[in-house]
Amino acid sequence: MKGKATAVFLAISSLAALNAQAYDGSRYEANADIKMDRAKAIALKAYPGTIVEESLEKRHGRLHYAFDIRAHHVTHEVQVDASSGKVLQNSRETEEDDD
Amino acid sequence: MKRGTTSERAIYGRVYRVLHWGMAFLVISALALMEFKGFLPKGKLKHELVYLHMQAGLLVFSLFWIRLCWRMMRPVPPITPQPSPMQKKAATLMHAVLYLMMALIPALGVLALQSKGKAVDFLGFHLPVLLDEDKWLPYALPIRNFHELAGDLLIGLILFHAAAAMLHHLYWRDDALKRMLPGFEHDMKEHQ
Repeated sequence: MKGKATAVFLAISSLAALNAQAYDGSRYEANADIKMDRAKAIALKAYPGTIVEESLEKRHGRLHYAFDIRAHHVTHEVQVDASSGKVLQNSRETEEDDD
Repeated sequence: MKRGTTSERAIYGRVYRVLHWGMAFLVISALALMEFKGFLPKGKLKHELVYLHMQAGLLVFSLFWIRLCWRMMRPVPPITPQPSPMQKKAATLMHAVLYLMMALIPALGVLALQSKGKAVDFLGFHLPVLLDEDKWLPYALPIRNFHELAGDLLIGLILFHAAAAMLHHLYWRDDALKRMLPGFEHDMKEHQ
């Protein structure tokens, strides 16, 4: 029975490990044509600075990367289409966007 | 201390039980809000969930110090029948890691926000700025990722902790779980 108890503990730990994600929305990564590194480079070209937040979001069935990039005390939200690599948005972050 | 009969058994004090279940509720709420947030696009709802997550996390951080003091000042009621030395060591390690996480994760959350120049409010008050954005901005994302990874680890630890409590109750049939539940004050001596 101790063996069974250990197996239960290991199963629960494995479930927890599976829950760990590299970033918000990384579960969609397999469906994205553009990978995170490429999307980061595109976003930083659009607004050079330091990435302080990164995620992959699905809206209306389309995937896009969303980056918060901070430079000179100003944060921009830059969105990059995960299929084409096109910059969809590059605007100053509003309070509601801030998370 | 002789053990074995119901009247000789001991239970955690009321304050400690309230702290345990209250903090469990806050920790699970904070974690659930973050998991749910991952499915939402940016916007007002997501922003408000994050705010609630922060408040719950900071409440946990505040209560953690009260709980730590309480735990250090009061004896822990023994489990009856006594678990094996191996189980005792495992339980001590698990509790130590859970305590560490309850302090570390909210602190990392605050530092992650401050390092990217965000002010952090707790119950309407600004928290003092501990990290200067000009110096710490490059570390904002790594600190945030560490905060989230530690949160994922905490989910596993909570499941592990709950599974261990159920094993004690259902398989080993000791009073490890009963010590923390309400309603057993009449059968068991309360450790205040």
